[in-house]
Amino acid sequence: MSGLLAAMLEATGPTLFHYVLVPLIKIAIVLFAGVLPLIMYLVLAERKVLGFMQARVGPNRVGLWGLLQPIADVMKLLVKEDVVPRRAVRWAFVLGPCLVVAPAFVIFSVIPFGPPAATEGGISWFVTDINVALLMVLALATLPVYGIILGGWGSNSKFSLLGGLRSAAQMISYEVPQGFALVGPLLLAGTMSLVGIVEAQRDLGMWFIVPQFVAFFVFLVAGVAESNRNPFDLPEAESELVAGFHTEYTGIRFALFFLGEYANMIVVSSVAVTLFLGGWLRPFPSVEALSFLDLSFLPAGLGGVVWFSLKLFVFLFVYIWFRGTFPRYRFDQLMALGWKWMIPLALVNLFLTGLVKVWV
Amino acid sequence: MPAFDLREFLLLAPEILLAIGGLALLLAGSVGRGVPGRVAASLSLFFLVATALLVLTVEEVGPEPRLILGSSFVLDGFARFFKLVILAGTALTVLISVRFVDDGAYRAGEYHALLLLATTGMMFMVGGFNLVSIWIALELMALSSYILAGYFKRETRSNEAALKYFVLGALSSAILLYGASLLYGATGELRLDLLAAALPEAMVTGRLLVPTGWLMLSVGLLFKVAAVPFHVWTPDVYVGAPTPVTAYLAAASKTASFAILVRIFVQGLPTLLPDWQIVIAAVASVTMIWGNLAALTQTNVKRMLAYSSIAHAGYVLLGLLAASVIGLWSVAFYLLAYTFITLGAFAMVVVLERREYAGEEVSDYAGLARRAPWLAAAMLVFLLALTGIPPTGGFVGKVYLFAAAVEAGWTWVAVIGVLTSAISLYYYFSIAVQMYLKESTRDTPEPLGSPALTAAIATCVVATLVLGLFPGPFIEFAQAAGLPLP
Amino acid sequence: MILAFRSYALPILPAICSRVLGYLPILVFCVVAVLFLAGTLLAARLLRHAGSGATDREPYECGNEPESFAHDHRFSIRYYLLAVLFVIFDVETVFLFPWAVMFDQLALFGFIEMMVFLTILVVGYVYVWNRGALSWA
Repeated sequence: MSGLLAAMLEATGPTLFHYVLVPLIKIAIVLFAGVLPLIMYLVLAERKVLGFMQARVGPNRVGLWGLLQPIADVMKLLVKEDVVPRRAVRWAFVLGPCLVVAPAFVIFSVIPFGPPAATEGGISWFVTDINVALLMVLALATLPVYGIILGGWGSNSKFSLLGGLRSAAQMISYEVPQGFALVGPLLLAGTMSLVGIVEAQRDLGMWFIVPQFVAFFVFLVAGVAESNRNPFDLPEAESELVAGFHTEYTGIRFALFFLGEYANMIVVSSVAVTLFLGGWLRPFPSVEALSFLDLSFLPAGLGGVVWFSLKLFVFLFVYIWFRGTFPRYRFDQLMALGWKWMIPLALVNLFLTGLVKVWV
Repeated sequence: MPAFDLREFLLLAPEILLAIGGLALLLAGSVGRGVPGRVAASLSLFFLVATALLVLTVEEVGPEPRLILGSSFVLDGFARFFKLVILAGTALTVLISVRFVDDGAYRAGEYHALLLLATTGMMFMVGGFNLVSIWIALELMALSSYILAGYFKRETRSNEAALKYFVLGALSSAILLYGASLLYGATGELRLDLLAAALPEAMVTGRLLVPTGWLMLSVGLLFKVAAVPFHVWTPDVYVGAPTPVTAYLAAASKTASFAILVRIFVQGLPTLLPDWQIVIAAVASVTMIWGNLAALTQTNVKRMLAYSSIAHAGYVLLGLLAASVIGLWSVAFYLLAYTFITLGAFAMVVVLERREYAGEEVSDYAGLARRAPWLAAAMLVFLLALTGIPPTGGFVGKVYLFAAAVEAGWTWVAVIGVLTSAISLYYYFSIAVQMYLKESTRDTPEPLGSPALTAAIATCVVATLVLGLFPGPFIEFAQAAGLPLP
Repeated sequence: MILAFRSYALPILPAICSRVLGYLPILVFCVVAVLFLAGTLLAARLLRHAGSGATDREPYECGNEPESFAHDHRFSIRYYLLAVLFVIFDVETVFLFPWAVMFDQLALFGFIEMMVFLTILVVGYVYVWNRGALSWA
């Protein structure tokens, strides 16, 4: 393996090797071994957990415990007929789902799943580390709004149009408190690099959720709303809008919207884990007695990846838990919550954090 | 990072007070049914007077300009002079607005808040010493003005005015900013004096950046002062906007825009003097000719005054064209006089105006001398001053402007100025003819004054006459506003 | 313009390049994401079955024949208002980010400056709240 890499380095030169080839391998692993399987089984897990919460079994026919169900779903969606409504705006209709999926994937290029390389030439558990990573995340996280509104408008169907508009309104409304909430951890970390933010939590000796629990709460609510999930799943409100912006979508295009929604869930969870739950750090990173939790017997910082994944799963479970528990908000309630509660809360938190920082 | 001194904020106390006043009115005006018109007007007058007092006391002006806040702003005689002129213009606008705002069904608090915020922007503009701080202040003024122009939000004409103003204004701001960025690209400086120092070298290395940059900058600035050929927005906006707002745009807004035009050209681009003089000469001549010729055919008084305000922009450009000591202070003096004259003339339009837009035709002035002799006399004074006939401030101002141009060797432009002034006599006096020689009919609107309006008109008349009869102290005042010349 | 480019941009190109190298993997990821989408859509195009008549090409309206299309109608101006508010507030967050990162260097002065800025923002916020722009009903 290492011999092969060395040969590649020889053949391509350091720039191409470090900035294209190695990232390409990492991207392939993140996408095809990480995110995509995770999404497929997240859907299954959701159905299973919801089934459990509602005292039913959930999918159990395809494979043992329904474990092959996601593969069956993918196959089904691939062979379904592709319907483009008459008088739809074709380019918008086609572009919509793509714009939802692609940015959600690209965000994973800056998420640190594990610690940076401990030694020269070691493995860093992220694709790249840039000094404005958080800004990159925010910028990319905005793009799915375009996809949804293009898809909803392009369908030229009333349900789709209303759903798309609602969804866009909801997403931009919650983007404001989300942005304000992110400033809290930034103040504590003093950097926008996601790796730097995790390291700041290590240096501080605690996860940012402790000093920034208000920001965490706002981010959690905004994150759930941003990914259009219960209790903020109005854009697709089955009972009133017949699935909202993707009413007219079938087959693979529908699947892409679906994929995008789940990818966004994972993105929001990853960002929350990185910013508030210490990323790859173990709990109580400053307590020496717990250092066995570092799992240092695993090679090359893999222990950090394990911790990151655990926290990610907890977060994803919370998403499903919400769906099983909360009733849906009404649209005006949703808007009021975002604009009249979350923004002041985030602003107060920002003010207090700054005040404390100036004081200390 | 440059060292900041928190005490420097104290030197900005006038602007800060005015901004606080604007924000407070905005907040108060949004609660429940808002603030009653008269209360809002009194409050905003209070803030304006207090600000003026602060300008006089806090902002000590030494012989040397003082740069504050990382040289974003400058305290000098020039800034102080224009701040006071703008505050006076705004206070008169408030007086003119009282009845008008009361008649409208809209929130008075918002109107006055926007007025104060726009004025704050103007004060920062004239005190700005950095292309970015000037631009941001300009935007504060411009954005507030767009909304003010659309204050009658249920009137199509007001909407039209606001939209045209917004679209064209935003375009010109963008051009201005792009020009500034090109100059920054060529020199690496935004501070006016450093920009001036860096320009000679930049003209060698960046042969295309500098001319493109300053040309775009000039286009943006000339748009703001409504000089031909960048004037097309003016008539429609002036006619559509509520008349007190039109007065405000024609007086205060134009004064502030001229102030930054002069400051940027004289302090920032002195190296390009030979280049911009030619452009300014051409623009000034075309502006005077076109503004006056177009005004000839107008029957709507507001539209006529709009074209007249374009023509006056041409006259003021003469002073800048001269780029001499006398030229610069005559610009300052003329803008001072012009503020009072224009506000007075528009106040007269307000007197005759009914139901938001009626009573704007020249024929509506028929027989005014018989029905309201004092008002007619006041209007006559303003018309004399606009034409440039003694014994008014308009005359004195024009004389110095023309003299400055002649002295600097731009005689042909000055001649155009004199000739076009003669043309302007025709359309200004069509109003005088209506007032004094025509009989009123049943449809002629009755003049409808109010104490505040009367006070405003009286102030303007007195100021216009005093500036014409005893210009001495005011000329000294304007001379103190000079900028160091290249 | 070409001259300007030559004299200004060319000398600093290497510096720019070394600074943006860290972003190259993101570009690579974009390419991979686009390729993934293209591949998926292509696979679906090859695999899916052809489709039936024209009746299912009408927009869904609970089984009724649609009498008009979504684009024939106008939608609520409130969405526009919301978008404007969003732009205003979102721009403020973009100002907050660099401020937060530089907080230690800016210290008390930076804190006061930002609080002044936020106060003005809050005035606007209270204003739109009072005027009812934040209430949907």
